[in-house]
Amino acid sequence: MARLSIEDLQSPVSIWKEDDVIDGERVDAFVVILRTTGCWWSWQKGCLMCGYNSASSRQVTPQHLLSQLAQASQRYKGEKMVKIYTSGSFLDPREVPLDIRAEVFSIFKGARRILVESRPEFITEENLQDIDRRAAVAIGLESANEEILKRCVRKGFTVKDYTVAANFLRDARLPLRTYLLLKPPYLTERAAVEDTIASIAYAAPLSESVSINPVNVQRDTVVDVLWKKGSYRPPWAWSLVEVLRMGRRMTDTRLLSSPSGGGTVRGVHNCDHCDRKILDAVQRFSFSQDLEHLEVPECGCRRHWSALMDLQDVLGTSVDVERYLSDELEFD
Amino acid sequence: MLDIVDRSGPARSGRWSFGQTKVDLPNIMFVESQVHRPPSYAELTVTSGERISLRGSGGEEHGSFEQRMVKPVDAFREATSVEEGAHVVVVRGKNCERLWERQEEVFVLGNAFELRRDARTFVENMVALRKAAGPSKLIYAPGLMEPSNLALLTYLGVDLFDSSLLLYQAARERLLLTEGSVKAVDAGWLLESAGTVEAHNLRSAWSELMLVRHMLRVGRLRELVETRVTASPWMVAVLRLFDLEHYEHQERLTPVVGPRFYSNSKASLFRPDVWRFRRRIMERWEPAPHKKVLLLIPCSAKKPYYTSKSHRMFEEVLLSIPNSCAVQELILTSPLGAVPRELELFYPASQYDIPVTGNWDHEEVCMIQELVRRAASFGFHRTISHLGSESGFVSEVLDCVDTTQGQGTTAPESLERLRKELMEACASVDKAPRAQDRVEFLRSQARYQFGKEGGALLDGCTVVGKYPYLKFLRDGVQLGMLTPERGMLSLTMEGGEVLREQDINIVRMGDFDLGGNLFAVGINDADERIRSGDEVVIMRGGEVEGVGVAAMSGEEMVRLKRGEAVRVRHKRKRK
Repeated sequence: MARLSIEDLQSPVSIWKEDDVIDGERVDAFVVILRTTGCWWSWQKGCLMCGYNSASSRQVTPQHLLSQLAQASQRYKGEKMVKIYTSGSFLDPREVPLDIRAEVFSIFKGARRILVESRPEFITEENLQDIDRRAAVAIGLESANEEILKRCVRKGFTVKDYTVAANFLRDARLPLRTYLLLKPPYLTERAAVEDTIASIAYAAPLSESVSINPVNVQRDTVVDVLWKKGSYRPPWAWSLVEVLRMGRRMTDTRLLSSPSGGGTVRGVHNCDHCDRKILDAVQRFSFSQDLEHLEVPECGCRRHWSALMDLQDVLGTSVDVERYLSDELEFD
Repeated sequence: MLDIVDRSGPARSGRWSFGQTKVDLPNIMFVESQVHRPPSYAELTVTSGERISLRGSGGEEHGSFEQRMVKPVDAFREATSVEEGAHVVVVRGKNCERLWERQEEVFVLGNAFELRRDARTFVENMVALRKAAGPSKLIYAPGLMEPSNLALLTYLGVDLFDSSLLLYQAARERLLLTEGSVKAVDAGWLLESAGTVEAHNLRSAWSELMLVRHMLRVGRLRELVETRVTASPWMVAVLRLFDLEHYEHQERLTPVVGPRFYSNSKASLFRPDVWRFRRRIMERWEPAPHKKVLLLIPCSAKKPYYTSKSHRMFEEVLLSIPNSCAVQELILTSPLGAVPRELELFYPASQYDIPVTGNWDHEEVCMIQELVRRAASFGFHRTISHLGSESGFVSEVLDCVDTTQGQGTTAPESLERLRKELMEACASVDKAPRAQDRVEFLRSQARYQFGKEGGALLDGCTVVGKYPYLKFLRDGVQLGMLTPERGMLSLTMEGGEVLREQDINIVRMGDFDLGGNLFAVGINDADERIRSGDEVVIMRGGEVEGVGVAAMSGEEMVRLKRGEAVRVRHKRKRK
């Protein structure tokens, strides 16, 4: 990993503003991605699709973190919601020491809710003893299927670990946002859709909101290696629509999705013709929760997606079927 | 249960039954799902989804397997995975062994669809799976079949296909032909009769399947394969790798008899039966000791050669010469290389047909030169080349007299020169008695057919009859005869005793009385060298119980539970 300059170490990876929802009310949200020493698991085996630790650095010190927070506070304009990501676990004291955790909550005084992300192993009574009451916690469960979580995500924790953490948060009256991954590698399109739907069914009762993250192929990951060979295709946008539709019918828990890389070859996509329309629809739905907002005009590519959903299991492969076939010279 | 009926090279067809369902193989399992209904002619179906279920068209399930997580084929380059389903096993990778011991009957070639990118891995995994599963198991290759490769996949030993790729290509608006694929919008003429792209693709594969079964029935699938593979580089590569790198595997499964066939492509040179002929000449053939003059002559379009006009003219010349028994005739030809006269009736010497243009390509030239060099290495007193236009590349590798001198081989001047040269050559070598020549003629056949030890069949024998109907007797007892219709030596019980002494082509049956023919179920052990079509000896305990013709290979006799294994010609008389 390249050595970072002192300026980089003192600056957050990124800051932006977006909209989110608190208790059904649409609010402004302030998002900051802190540069920390990174996710401990990513330094071990790491998740197959995660390349976020390219933004982390072992050179980061508590002093650097304080400088980053100072920069963030200058940009903060009193948004009601603040989201703090670290490309790891905010609640891991090795990433964010306890005194800095306290500093974060004091800087964003005007916020009604401060959402932080963490792996479940840090969501314990001991670690959360004096946590600010405005805190909400996000856990990337990815899949509620133990086997998929282990073999297709290589998450390094179990569904059981997640469940224990979720129950603890409920008892502590801290809201939980669960992230689910749509289409980890080695699954057919159908299996991926069904897995995410089943995961919504599992996570929704434990969560205040469930956010669907369609896989975005990040550089220098196992998924990236597969994708470059044509052995992986990110989910179809139709799959995302299907997941949200089916999920909405199963639960009242808020469902949302804000795909990174949507409409690109590395992200969730259908075809150039309909990607934008569908992603816009997904965004509208994420706020309204209204299934009518997921109604998108038919597109020729939908037939193609249906065929894949129906046939890929018999084809017996999880690769990008289209790319395998289009390599061949046909009589055109 | 599997009952193999026809074989063509390593491919087979037959009947497969489970429960009340009885179908022919190879066969296509048609996808049955919420979106797709199997066509009316479907005999087998497969359901899609998390559990892949294989069924008869009546709905009866044979077995199923799960496709939960499917890692790409790269994950199985080193490690092989064997995933157990219900009556079905999925095998990924090539390091699999002894699968024939398992109870399941259907073995899935895992990641088959992905192997369409990688001909070598496809061939390696397929050969490994067939070797490990043995002949009694069915191999199912999911997602790979389309009309153009159906014949090739069958040839490599796939028994079961599915319609998934046909349907997927239909969703992509591709019409599939045996020659390749075209966009539906460009091929209205094809859609007129079929109606939909989907119906066309399914029908196209089904009619190719029917043709493949027919070609298997007539024993000529190999030629269909050779015409089909040129549609894609992957297929050409698969056939080439299978031929060049897996000859032994193919040869074991390939019958030693067969119908007439065309040898039209470069790949024909490496057919296992053709290659086997050349190898047997190299390994098993040597001229009889009294053969002192080597005569090289061209092949004829008419088979067997001796019935052709040109060869009858050569024969006339030979018969006019004293001591012509000292002459070893060697017929030069593609794709067999060199055929000693005494083997002209043996498969495939009297079955092949080639395009004759007088142009020889590099492989053919090398092959003929190799065999001529081998023949000449036995030290003939003189070599005469009566080859016409082919004499050029032969004279490059050995010293010989050219009796055609640029003229045709049947030109009177050429024949006269041939007569003169033969006269001179035969006069200068030891006298070779005709009776001995006839014995050695058959001994050479026996060596070719049974291996060198088979020559013992002719020890102490005399030969009676007029070619090609020759019988050989020892002390007045017939041991066997040359059967031109089979292109082989057929043995009597006494001939069988000689094979038993030499431990050649022995089939050991169980302790029961032989009724008619011998079936696989009654066999305890069989010589691995036995090929379908071979002459075999049936032993019951320590005694010869019968002799006959193998209807399957020795390995199949041991592994298969059904099917006729030996067509019995003679059996022991019981008092």
